[in-house]
Amino acid sequence: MKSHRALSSIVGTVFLVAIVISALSYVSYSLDTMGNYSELLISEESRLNEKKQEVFEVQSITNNSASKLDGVIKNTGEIPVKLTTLWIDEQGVNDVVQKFTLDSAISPGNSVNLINLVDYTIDPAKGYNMKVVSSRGEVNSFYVNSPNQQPLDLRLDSLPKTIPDEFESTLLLSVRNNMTNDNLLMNLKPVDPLTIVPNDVNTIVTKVDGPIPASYPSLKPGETAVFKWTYTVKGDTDDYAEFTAQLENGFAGNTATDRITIGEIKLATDAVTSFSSQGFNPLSSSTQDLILHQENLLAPLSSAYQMDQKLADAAGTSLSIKTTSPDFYTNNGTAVEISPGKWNATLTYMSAAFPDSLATSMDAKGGIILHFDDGGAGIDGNEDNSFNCVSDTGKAKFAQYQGGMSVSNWNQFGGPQGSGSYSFDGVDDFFSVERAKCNEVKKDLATIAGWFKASSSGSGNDYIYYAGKDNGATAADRFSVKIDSSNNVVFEFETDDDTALLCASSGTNYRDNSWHHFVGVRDADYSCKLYLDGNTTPAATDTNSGGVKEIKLDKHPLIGARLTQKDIPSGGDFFQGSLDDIMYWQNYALSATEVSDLYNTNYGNAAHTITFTYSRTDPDGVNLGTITNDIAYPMNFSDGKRDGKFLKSFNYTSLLPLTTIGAQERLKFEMLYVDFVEALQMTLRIDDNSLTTNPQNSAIDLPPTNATFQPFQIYDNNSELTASVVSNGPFGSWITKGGTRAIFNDTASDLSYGALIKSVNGTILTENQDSTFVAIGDGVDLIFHRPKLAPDNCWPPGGSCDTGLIPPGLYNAQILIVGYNDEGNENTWKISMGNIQVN
Amino acid sequence: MRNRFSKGLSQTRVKNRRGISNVVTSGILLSAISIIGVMMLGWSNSSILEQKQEIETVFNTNINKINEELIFENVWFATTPSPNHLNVTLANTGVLGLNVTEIHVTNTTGTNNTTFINYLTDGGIQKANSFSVNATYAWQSGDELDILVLTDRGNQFITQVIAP
Repeated sequence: MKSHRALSSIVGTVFLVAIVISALSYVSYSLDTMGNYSELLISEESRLNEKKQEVFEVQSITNNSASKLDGVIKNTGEIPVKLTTLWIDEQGVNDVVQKFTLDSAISPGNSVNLINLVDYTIDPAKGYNMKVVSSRGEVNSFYVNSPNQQPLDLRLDSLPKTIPDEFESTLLLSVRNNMTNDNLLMNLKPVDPLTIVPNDVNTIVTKVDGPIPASYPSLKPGETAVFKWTYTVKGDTDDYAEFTAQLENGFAGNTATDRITIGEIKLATDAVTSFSSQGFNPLSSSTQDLILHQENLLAPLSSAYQMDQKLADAAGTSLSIKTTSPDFYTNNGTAVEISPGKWNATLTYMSAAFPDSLATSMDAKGGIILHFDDGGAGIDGNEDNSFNCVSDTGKAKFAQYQGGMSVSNWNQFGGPQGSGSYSFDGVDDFFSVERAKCNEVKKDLATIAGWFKASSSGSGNDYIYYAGKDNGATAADRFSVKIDSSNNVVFEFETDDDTALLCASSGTNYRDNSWHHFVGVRDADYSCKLYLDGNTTPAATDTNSGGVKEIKLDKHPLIGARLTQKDIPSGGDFFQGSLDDIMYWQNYALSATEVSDLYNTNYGNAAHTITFTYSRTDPDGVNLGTITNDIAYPMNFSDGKRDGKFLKSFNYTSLLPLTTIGAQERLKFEMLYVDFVEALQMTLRIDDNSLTTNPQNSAIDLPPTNATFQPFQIYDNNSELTASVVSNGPFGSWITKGGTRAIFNDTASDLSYGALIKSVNGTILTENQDSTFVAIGDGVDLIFHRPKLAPDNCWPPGGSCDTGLIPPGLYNAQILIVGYNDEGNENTWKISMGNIQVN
Repeated sequence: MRNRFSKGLSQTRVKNRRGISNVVTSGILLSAISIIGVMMLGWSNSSILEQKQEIETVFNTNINKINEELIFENVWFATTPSPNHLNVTLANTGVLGLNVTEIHVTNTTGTNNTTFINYLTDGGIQKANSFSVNATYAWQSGDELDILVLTDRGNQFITQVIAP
């Protein structure tokens, strides 16, 4: 029996071993299978990542002398790209589509020339749709010389609009690529404007030059191209020529029109030569900057404004750049040499909340705008861009830090257009928005919009905006936008009877670390519509009839989290990523066109495009030469509160060589508003003496100058006259009472008025008292008695003292300074002080 | 003596019989266990093999489905030869060959929701290759069309186009 037992043990062991081996082989196989699966997943993820990283750009498209298609395609990404196919579709011809095999690999940073890959004859007069496809499936579509898919934003401006007979005027055609399909426009060419002279056939229009440039090689979405022509118009006063511009192969009827009129230019009186004058104003009130003033007295045109180195001297005024396109002039009278360096125009302005097409959209019952342009403590103060928004406790507060949210979440330039934005960690970061009349939804129409960049690390439900009610149930009234667990954007609203309307995108992963724009609309028929990335066709709609019911909210809306009960957000539904430009409209539903306009509106680094020009003019404002000209210069969005306070300044900076403004010349600073559909109007604040620093008054900070610009001068004839001058040497000197005078020549008559000297730097001059020594470079204030036909020292004003007193009017002033110098010679200095207004 | 002898003999016989039955029993038991063991081993092996094959099939099917990737390289509208039709070019950007079986063209303009299905029998596209097909649909200018492509593995790819 012992041997039998041993045998059974052996048999049992054999089976055990066999079973163990089988089990191990199965486990090993399973692990191997899982390993393969993981490898495949990693490989697939890596392939998808590479696809995401693949970036190539069509940088130019041209045709050579033989009309062969050429152009440059550059790999702007960080991984190699293999181009496989080029499709060329001639516009307007359905059956002619060409396919070319490219088979060209491009290393990161390198380019290929199309002419080396494709032999295709291009007709410059026709338009083409082109498409380049890569091996990873990236498709880059663009139009060549064919802006005929949609009407583009065109604007034609004549500058100036009124010219003297046979003078030149410049026509500026601005073209903005506002196509909704995000395509590049290539080889954009304008057609010379069509000219008609409707009111006098004898009017002659002559093109001097243009278009400059002849074409733009490419125009990206949102960019603006500007073409320039110069024309002269010959005719009689009030004759005009009308110009209609369009693009070659443009959309039918997509034109822009403006006119140039012949008229008399209103001229200022000629100034005379002057030297080293500081003007009739105390030096203590001057500044090194050229301040933009609100007055236009003594400016060469009645519509122009003063610009000089006096401090802001008024309560200030606000100029709409769109309607005024203001020109600022210095006074003539002093030659000024400006050193090479930066000319920095610091402009204090406020941007409109919306482009013109949406300007009144929040006027119905108000709304909320949160641009996140200020971090930290400003979040409660500056982010109160509410419209008509009052809470139960007074003025409502918006975007207050909650949970883990703090100033460290603010990224000053992190937004979709380089604007400020906030990041949310998906754990506990969120804002609360005080519930108020302007965000309560109810039975009204409503719109919620904004930009989001959802992190690819996020999962589940990530709420962007949630306005809700606390009734202890999850199906309480609510109005919300979120990214759901399938990476879709979901806009939904629900009433307490469980009637929900839900609009969810599909087919696109929106957790892709990229900025996207959303607009959720509760429309007039109480349906819901979800628009994404400016597309005028909703990504999703829902017309459930229950949408008509009232949505009753009783808790503060949240940004970046979902409300559960008692204003407490849910632990798992925090948003992970970044948000910007959150907007809510009460009782207003954006239309599809408005959605597109809002998407294309730049609330960042190019909210406005302004054509800035510095030029020299003669005293009458006639152009003597352009110093520099920046066409369609982008200017930042400047958020202002609804109460009209100006909060920020932004700079327009030019680096210029040595520049000399002659004594008989003016410096002109010109701001021309370049309009387009999504442009935000700009309101410039000038001459506001309450603005000192941050923001400061609008001004031009010049490099060092060798002299001060002649100020614009005003004198009150009830007071003594103060003139500021600087001694230029080459010798030190004294000033004496005898012969030192101020002379005022009436520009409207032959009369002149003289004034006796009273004191120099506080020293009263008499027959027995000269001034103190005036060294080279010293500035001195000369105080004169009031100018009269028969000059005297009669004081105080009134009665017989006013006999022969200089009357109000415009005068040309000079100062005659008599004295002697430290070389023992008698000296007489005549200083022209320029024009002065006597009141 | 005889009785003693007889007794002794019978005792020996009994002992011998007991030994034989033990051997027989053990033999039967061992044989039974061996047979059962071999059967179980065989069953388990075949079962594991089946499971392996099933896992491989499921795994390969799903992975292949996941790896299948197709882009609409170009869609253009043609009028000749009549009737109007669309030329759809598809590119296989995945890592496997695939087979396009159906192309559905649905007009989504306004309330019009007509669908035309094109069945394909030659829609095989090798890796990194493209495939063009004329999809019959009497389009009219301005029509908004959804183009849905179905593959043999059950994937669906969709794009939207507007007729010129």
